[in-house]
This record gives sequence, C-alpha cells and structure tokens, in this order.
Amino acid sequence: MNQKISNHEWEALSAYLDGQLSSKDRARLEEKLRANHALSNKLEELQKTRQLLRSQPRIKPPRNFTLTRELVGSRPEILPGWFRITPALQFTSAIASVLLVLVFITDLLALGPANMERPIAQDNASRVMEVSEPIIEIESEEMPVEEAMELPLAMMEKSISGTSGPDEIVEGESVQGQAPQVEETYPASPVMAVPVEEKMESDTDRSLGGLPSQVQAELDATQSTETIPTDSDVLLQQEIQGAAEDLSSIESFLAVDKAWWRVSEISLLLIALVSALLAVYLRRAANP
Amino acid sequence: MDELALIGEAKRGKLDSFNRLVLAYQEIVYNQAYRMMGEAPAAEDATQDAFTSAYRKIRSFRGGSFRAWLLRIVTNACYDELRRRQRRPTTALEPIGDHDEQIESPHWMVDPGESPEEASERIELFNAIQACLDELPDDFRAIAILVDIQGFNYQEAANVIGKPIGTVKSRLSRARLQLRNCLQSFWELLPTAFRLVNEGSP
Repeated sequence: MNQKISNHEWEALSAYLDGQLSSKDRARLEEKLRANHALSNKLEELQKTRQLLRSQPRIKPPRNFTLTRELVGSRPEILPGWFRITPALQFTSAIASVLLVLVFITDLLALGPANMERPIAQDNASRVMEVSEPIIEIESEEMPVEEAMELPLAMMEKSISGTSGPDEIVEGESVQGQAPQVEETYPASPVMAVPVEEKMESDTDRSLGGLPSQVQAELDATQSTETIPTDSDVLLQQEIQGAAEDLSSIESFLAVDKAWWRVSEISLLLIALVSALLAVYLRRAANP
Repeated sequence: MDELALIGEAKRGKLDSFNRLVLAYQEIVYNQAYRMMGEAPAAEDATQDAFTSAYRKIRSFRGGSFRAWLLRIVTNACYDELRRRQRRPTTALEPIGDHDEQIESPHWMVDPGESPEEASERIELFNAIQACLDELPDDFRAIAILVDIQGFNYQEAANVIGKPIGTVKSRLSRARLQLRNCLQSFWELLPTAFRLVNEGSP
C-alpha cells in the first residue's frame, strides 16, 4: 500500500483540495484517483489534515493592542482641509515656475537691448554735439576748454584737414580779405586754435613783416567781440544739457526696469518654492 | 464608518480611527503571530510591534486588502524575531517544545460548557498542532497558517508573503505533507474523524 508519491503529485492533491487546479488538470487527476487507490488514500489523509487544521478555534488575544500617542510618538494630525489645497499649491507652483522661466528668459533678452541702450544714448549725445559743431566752427571761435575736451578727437582732425591752413592763407591773394575767413573756418577747438593762431601770427610776421596796425586792431576788435557768449553758445549748452538729461533719464529708466525684473523674478521664485515645499509636505503627510 | 474611511483618517494621523482598525483586526493578527511564534508573550510583542509599524507606515498602504497588508507586517515581524532568536538563542524559563511537556493552558482555551476530559483533549490537540507547526520551516509555516488556519485563499496568501501563487501552492503542499506526518505521532490525541487511514505509516 505504501506507494511513493512524487512532490508534483502531492502538490496536485493539495491544490485539488483547495479547488486550485484547472479543469484539465482536475480531470486528469480524478482519472488517476479512480485508477490508483493508494493515491486516493493519500488524498483522504491530506484532506483530514487540512480539516484538522481548519477546525482549530481562533485564539483570543489576551489584551487589546490599541495604540497611544506615547507608543507611536508624536505625529501631528493634519486637518483634512489642508489636504484639499494640495492640488492648488501644486498648480500654483507649476504656474509660478513657468512664469519664472518666461520672465527670466525675457529678462535675458531685455538685458541685451538694455545694454545696447547705453551706447545708443551716448551715440545720440555725440550726434547732438556733432550737429552743434558746425555752429561752433562758424559762429564761435573760442570755446571753453572743458567743452572742447569732450569733443571727439576724430572730429577735430576732420575739421583740421577740411580747412585751409595758414600757409595757404599766406600764399593767398589778400591778407586782409582772407584773415577773417581763416578765422571763421578754423576749428572751434581752442586746443588746436591756439597753436594755429600762434603759427599764423608767426608766419605772417615772418613773411610780411607784420600786419598793418589798422588790420591788427580790427582783428583784435573782432576777437574781443566774439569772446562774449552769444545765443548760439547758449543754444549749444542747452542742447548738450538736454542730451545729458536724455542720457540720465534713459539710465534711470533702465535702472527702474532692471529693479522691476529682479523683484518679479525673486517673487516668482519664492512663490514657486514655498508652494512646492508646502505641497510636498502635505503630500508626504498624506502618503509618505 | 467603513474601513476605507478609517484608513483615510488614520493616514491623516487620526489615532482613534487607526485604533478602531486595530480592534477589528487584532484577533487575526494575534493568531498569525501566535502560530508563527508558538508562544503568547512573543506573539503579543510581535502583534504590538506590527500595529505600531502599521500605523507609522499606513500612508504607504495603496489600497487592496488591508487585512493582507497587516498580516504581511506581522509575518515579517515574526520572521525578524525568529531570525534574531536563531542568531542569539535563549533558554526558556519553562521547558516547552517537546510533545510530552507540560504546556500552559491559556484562559481562552477553557470552555465552561465542556467536561474536563474534553477540555484536556482539546488543549492537547491544540498544543500538538502547534508543536507540528513549530517544526515547519518559517516560510512553510506562514503559508500553512494563512491558508489552513486563517482560511485565506491562494491569492490573498500570495499577497501576504509577496510571492506568486505557484510558490503558495508548492509551499502549502509540502507544509501539509510534513504536518500530516507529524500529526500521525499524535494519533491517539486526534478525534476519530481526523485519524488517518494508515496510521503510523506515512
């Protein structure tokens, strides 16, 4: 009667008792059980063992296992209402993050033009000065040194090369007729004007042996009258002042603009961070 | 209040709600612990540890069978304690384990409606079954307790141990075979209906 039962057969018998065999396997096993009496005896033994185990009463716990705060430590209760705002916080964080990126990109792009504004403004100011320069050349012979120092060197050189020098004047037709014209076409800069005048005087003295006293007196009179500030000088100063004001207003505008960008970026960053951290905290509190 | 609502409140830190779940499941959890550990004090410790751990980890519960989730925690707690005992074996104050030893008779085993002889036979059978369970490997024992004592189906048992159903089938059949062989040594203790056909010859 002691027939060896393989592990596979024991497993099939056990699963058969629990109704865990497929219909095909069950039919095959039932066929075997009908043919093999020893196998059916093993099934009966296994069934009794199973029934014996299942007949065992439940053990009643000797005490309750309810928990206390002291036992589990302090885990603060979170009001249910707080959990409802978690999606709103996540949404806020996401929107703030997107806006932050947009503002940052815009700031980067805007900083380029902002940096470009400065040379443009300076260029405008120099253009204003260029425009006023012919006025200086024509109407003003003498200019304050401080203003003249601000003029671009290139413009001065251009002025010099574009006008006829004292040598040409000396070789010209009439010294008397040319002298005032020479004075008018000289560059406005006294830096250059002074040596040119000195040179002219020395040249004329050398070649002509000095101007007649009447002509010299007229020249002196002309120079003395032109050193008094004229309307054109005032206009020039106003234009320069206006250009400087324009420059300062642009700079102040850019400064305000930059501050606004910074405030926006920091605000959005704070909103994104705070809402994200709060959302993470609440989420972890709900589902760690 | 239904179980899902209690679980939701427990996740939000409401200890009272969790304690209501404890009261609902403490018997099944304690039974698993008792059958796994084989003694009441160790079962109490394992049960209390399991519920404490469950409360702390309840936010990781993603749905499904809460009963299976709890039994997984207590079974793992028993595995840990059994492994710790294997590493550091201790000597019991009162000898237990052999079949003919005196084993305590807990208060819950006393049924006022039965005679002393009946009570004695029932207690002896209980102890015999526990002795046979104790001889099983831990993995086999856990499955035998889940399916044949707690009455879980294969799928739920698989969820508890975190293994496929095939593993449950295999381990259960081997556990039943070993229990059958072990229980034959208690043949005289077994009720007539449960005595094996070929007693003494596994």
